[in-house]
Amino acid sequence: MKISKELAKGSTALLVLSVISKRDMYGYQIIKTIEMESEDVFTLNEGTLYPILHSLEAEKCLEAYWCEAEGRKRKYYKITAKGLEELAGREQEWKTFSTAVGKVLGGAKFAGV
Amino acid sequence: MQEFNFDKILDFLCSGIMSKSERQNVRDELFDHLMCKYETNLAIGMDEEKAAESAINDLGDKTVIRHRLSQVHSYYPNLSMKKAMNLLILGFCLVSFQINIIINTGEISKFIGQVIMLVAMFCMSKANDKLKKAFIFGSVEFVLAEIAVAIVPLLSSVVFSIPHMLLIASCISNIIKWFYLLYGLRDLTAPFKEEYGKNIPYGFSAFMNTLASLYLMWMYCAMIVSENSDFGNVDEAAYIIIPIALISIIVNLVVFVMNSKCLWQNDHEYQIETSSKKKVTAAVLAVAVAIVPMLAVDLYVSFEKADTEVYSIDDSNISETEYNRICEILLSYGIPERLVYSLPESEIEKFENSISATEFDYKKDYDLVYKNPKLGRDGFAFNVYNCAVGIKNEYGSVDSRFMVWIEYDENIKGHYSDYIQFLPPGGDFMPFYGTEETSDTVLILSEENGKIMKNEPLDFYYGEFFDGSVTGVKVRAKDGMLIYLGKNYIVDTSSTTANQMINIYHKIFPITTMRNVPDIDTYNNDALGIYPFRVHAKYWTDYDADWSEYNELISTEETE
Repeated sequence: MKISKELAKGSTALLVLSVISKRDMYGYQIIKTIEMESEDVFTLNEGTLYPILHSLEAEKCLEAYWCEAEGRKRKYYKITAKGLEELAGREQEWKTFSTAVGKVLGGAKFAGV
Repeated sequence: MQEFNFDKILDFLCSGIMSKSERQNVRDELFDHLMCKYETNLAIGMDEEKAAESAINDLGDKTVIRHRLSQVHSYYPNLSMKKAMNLLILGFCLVSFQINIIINTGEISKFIGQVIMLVAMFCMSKANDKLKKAFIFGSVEFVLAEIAVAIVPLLSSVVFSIPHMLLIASCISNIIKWFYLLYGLRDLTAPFKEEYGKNIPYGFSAFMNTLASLYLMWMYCAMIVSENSDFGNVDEAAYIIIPIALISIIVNLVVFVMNSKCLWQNDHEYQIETSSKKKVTAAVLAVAVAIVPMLAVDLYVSFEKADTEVYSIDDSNISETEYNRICEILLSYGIPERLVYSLPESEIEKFENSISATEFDYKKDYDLVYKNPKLGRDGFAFNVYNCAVGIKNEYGSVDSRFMVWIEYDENIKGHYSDYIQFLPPGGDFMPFYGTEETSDTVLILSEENGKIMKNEPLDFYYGEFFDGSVTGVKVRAKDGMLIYLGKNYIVDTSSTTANQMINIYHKIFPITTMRNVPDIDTYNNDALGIYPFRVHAKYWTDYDADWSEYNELISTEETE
């Protein structure tokens, strides 16, 4: 099941930070990883991913470095200490949000997501 | 693995990124991305062309990607494009409407508006190349115009054309600025044009702005060629420039508003991040620093260079009898003595050459025409004294008025003149009578702190058709002065010609509006301006004449 854009909008940066926090990744890999881990629920497109990556890099939540791969340059992203803090904050925010949404939608059944 | 050529699509996607190195980095990254997809597509059995096509199609809306990348890589956080756009509109309104919150703040509001527009354009300058150029040319335009205004008082009339040449250069920059600004904004709206569904008149707006600037340039050129500010022409020009300017102002505002609506329709997340507060502050400071020398010159000229001195009756060399006579005359107008300022000898041209009527050539040699219904001209002689006086009016300010006092010879005492009439040297528009030598005609009075000041002319302009006729005068001015030009200066209340002359030379802190000098008895009320007026003899002397003859003559003349 695909999630509507509106719903996914606020969580994209959280997802990106989250997957990069596990290991350094490049853009295409990030998209594929999120797709895989979300079981195709989240499909990031390039128009969303790269501006977010570049913004996070500008905000120093991510660091980038270039490697040579398959005969061409590849840009890898690595999470920074600030990025980890940001991730923790966003995770907390998400939990609060989803718990609240769950409570409204289905009482105890959804609470504690 | 063979690399597919994605140059075209990559060029497009990265075209909004200003920095060359960043553009290359993003290009490399996206190329890697496309290649990964392409390779994956090949791996699942697509042919090369289809694999590449699919990789490109999977990107989604290219315009949106390009747009978002350009946003992120404008690397100027804080002040949003929306705020910059609003600033631009605010600045433009201030420049266009020159809001006069209190008297004569128009020029100041214009100046502030120009600075705000520049700040807004600076904020936008990273959005695309055209907007960057708009900022550059806008700055050039502003600085050139300010320099032109600032240096005028420092120049002699020999180099009169330099400020005007600077103003022409400023106009050229203005035209280029508008083109870049409007077409830069058009590029911003391009991705959303279809969604917006309306045509924004960028082209028409640019055309009208060009037209207005070209007209100004033409005026400045005319001033250079004629080596003076042709007042009459400036007034005529105003009738043409005003509608053009009004149309261009309206069209510009329409474009700005439509542009904003198009950019932020449907709550687009369109936030071109622009300049940081730090950079905006730096830009404002830079403009301020650039303006300081000009302001300094302006203030120096305003406060130090205005060559004025206080008028006082004590400076006057006129005799007590003369002075009393003037007071008597003025009293007949209901003007008490305490409100009368007389002028020093140097300011009064005394025509003591006892012109006899036989020598007097009507309308040819003199501005003064004498008629006497009783005696005719023959055998008549008189002395004429001219005097300019400052008269406090009912509003507490001072009007300058021209008085002529005729002193009769002893042997004709008891006779009177019916009226004296001042004719302009020709039918042309002449703000001043006479020549520089007969400088009674070019007297500049000013009021400052309630005192009447005389203000030495810097330069005179002469008419072409009447040798030596003074058609204009250039004076230094102090801020807040009331300027009176010429004692014969009777001006149409709607005329702004003289004001324009002052404003051109003194832009930042304008001189207060030229005060209209009401005539004493306008000869031709239907045709205001510089026209003859007459002072009836009954005001000039105490006599026991038979007025019926005089009245009959006047009524006959009026009938004719």
